[in-house]
Amino acid sequence: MRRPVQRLGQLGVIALLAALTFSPALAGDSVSFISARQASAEPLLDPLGPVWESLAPTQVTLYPQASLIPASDSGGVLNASVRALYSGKTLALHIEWPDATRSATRGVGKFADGIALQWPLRYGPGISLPYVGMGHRDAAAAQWLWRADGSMETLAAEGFGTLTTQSPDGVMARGAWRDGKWQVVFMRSFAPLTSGQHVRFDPAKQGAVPVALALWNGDAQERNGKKHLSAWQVLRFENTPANEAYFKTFSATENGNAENGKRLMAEKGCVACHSFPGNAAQPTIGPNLAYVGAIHHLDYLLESIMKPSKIIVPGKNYSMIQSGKLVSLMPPLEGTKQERRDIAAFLQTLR
Amino acid sequence: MVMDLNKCIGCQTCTSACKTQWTNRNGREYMYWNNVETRPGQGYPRKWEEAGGGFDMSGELKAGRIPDLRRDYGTAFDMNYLEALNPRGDGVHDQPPSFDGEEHPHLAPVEMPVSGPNWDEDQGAGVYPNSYHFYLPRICNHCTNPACVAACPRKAIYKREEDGIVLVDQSRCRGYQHCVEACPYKKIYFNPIFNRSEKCIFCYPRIEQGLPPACAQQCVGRIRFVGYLDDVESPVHKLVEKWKVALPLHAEYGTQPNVYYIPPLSPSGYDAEDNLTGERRIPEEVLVNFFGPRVPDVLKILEQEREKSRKGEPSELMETLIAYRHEEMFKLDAAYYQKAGKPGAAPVPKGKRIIPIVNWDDWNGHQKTREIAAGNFPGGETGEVA
Repeated sequence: MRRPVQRLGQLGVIALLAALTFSPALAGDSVSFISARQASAEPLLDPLGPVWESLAPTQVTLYPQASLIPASDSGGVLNASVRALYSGKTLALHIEWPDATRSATRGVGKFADGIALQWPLRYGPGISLPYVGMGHRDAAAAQWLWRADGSMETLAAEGFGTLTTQSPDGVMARGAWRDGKWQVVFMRSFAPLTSGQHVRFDPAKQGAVPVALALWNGDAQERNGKKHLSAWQVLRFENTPANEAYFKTFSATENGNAENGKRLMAEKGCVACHSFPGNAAQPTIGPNLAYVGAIHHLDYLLESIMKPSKIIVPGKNYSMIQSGKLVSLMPPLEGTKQERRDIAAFLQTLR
Repeated sequence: MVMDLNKCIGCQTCTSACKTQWTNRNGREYMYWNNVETRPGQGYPRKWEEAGGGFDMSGELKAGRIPDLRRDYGTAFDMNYLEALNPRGDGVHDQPPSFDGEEHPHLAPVEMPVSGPNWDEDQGAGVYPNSYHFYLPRICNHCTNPACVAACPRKAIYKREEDGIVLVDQSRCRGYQHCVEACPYKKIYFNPIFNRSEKCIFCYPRIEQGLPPACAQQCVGRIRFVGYLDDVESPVHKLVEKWKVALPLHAEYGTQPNVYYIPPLSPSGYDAEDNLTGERRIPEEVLVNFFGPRVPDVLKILEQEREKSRKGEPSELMETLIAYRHEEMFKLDAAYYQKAGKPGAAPVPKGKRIIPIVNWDDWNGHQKTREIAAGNFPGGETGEVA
């Protein structure tokens, strides 16, 4: 029941507006501040609604999941445009991304296009954010998953293979595929409908929330770890207070010597276990490091170098049991602080 | 389980027993947890041996593909009963098309099927009078090293410690279908209604009562022996370990299957003058391809023992294979499951027993399919703008 002719006319104007008001990404360009506009009226669950065209989109870049098998093999980065609105008690997000083919059914050997938003259950200074790929032990991440077959799930996970369906939190979603693009709206009240591992929003107290995106392209047989994912982004509620200094760390860059870091990758033996562009051996003992500079924050990279056992991906043979404790196969880096910084600087170039 | 291919007549009673018991509705229509295929032939699903999966020599999972629903599995099809048999809508269908001058469609499937289980029934290979075929009944092999278990990122598939039955935990499965790709026998299926994988459950609720799986119980040729390899009283032990005449199917896939086959002997072929050649009509290499290099030895043992039996000499092997009594074919122990901690330990309720092969929430959800379609999804409103 849309009005295609009128909409076509609008599109040109909107494209121009979008170009003018485009929110610049932060340093590191894989972390963006998504501004949630304050609205007086309750948002509508309509991906094609005119309100979205009046908002400036924030570009969020998603990278192929390459760390673990099964990995995305469709290749290349994807850009999604994210818009957000909030009213007295409701948050709505509109995500738009290119997908040339609409895959809206699941079946034998068939997978539907899908999108997930991921929220940390706890965050803030001194709290380590859940591992961006589905959280980690004792650091749960909550997910909203919408698929093009119309299904919607509220989930939570503490690492790979731990995804668990949660009681309904009241999230609603609706999508539309037009002209080679999906547009999907997610909407939920600040407080979850039931108790469970759900995200809560309280813009008056916490004006910013970390959020990450994942996309699945159904006709490329994408499901599970075959997906594109973003780094933790920041959803910023307009006109509310937030700990700006904390969220700035999301996009921090290491100004060590990346060239030297690359040399150290070989010297310290990293190349024996990790694949990354430029490592001819392509070993599979540890996770593949392609895109780690774009998907992970500097804090996480530094921590993984120094304390590999802090966040362990279970069930992927990257760890062993040592005196009753799960420890990473990777030894902590033995080296100077400068060497660590150089390696981190190199890892940040992997994007 | 041991299946004696010398006795399989391809009647599909096992298939029917399985289908009516487990897979005749709710997204399982296309599934055959048990099927019987004609060999040589394309098999079911079509060309499953070329669909990859299993393990390579270093123990790594090999890439596999998901069979196509229509082309490889073949789906249940509807007939155009109304158009063909009630063309005018008056319940009268006694007039051939030429009678009233109108063309009525012939009775036919609405959508022509292109494949299905045992699609190439009895075609086999070879040229008359040396044509040959045999039947290959297949269930899940309940492998010792299951590729489906290895491929599941959620650990949703498990092998029961107490009896080795491989099952899908319906509450953990998220329908990724990695298992379907990984199983080299293509004996794990995706249910498109519940969006989860399902497979042969070796009729575990029957096993727990000391009864054989439905396919084995119903087999009119009595080809299926059920028991434990390490139970010396069991015919399975006798045939696999003692007489060594039962061989796994495609052992080279690396999954260590637990269904064993006794390869089929075959009648003599004919030469150009129609004289018997004395050569078995099914070429040995055909059977070696399925059951491995020990096939010639096994066939020799079978012939020797058969000869003994013909002379009236006792042969334990032949006596076992003849399968006089069900009790001797199935060595199961219900009491084993009644011990504490075993799955059947709970008292069996009187009357009907509900056997959940689908997650209870899934089932409830399925009952509400119409409501979901109307947008009343438990998580709130969802869908796509049309």
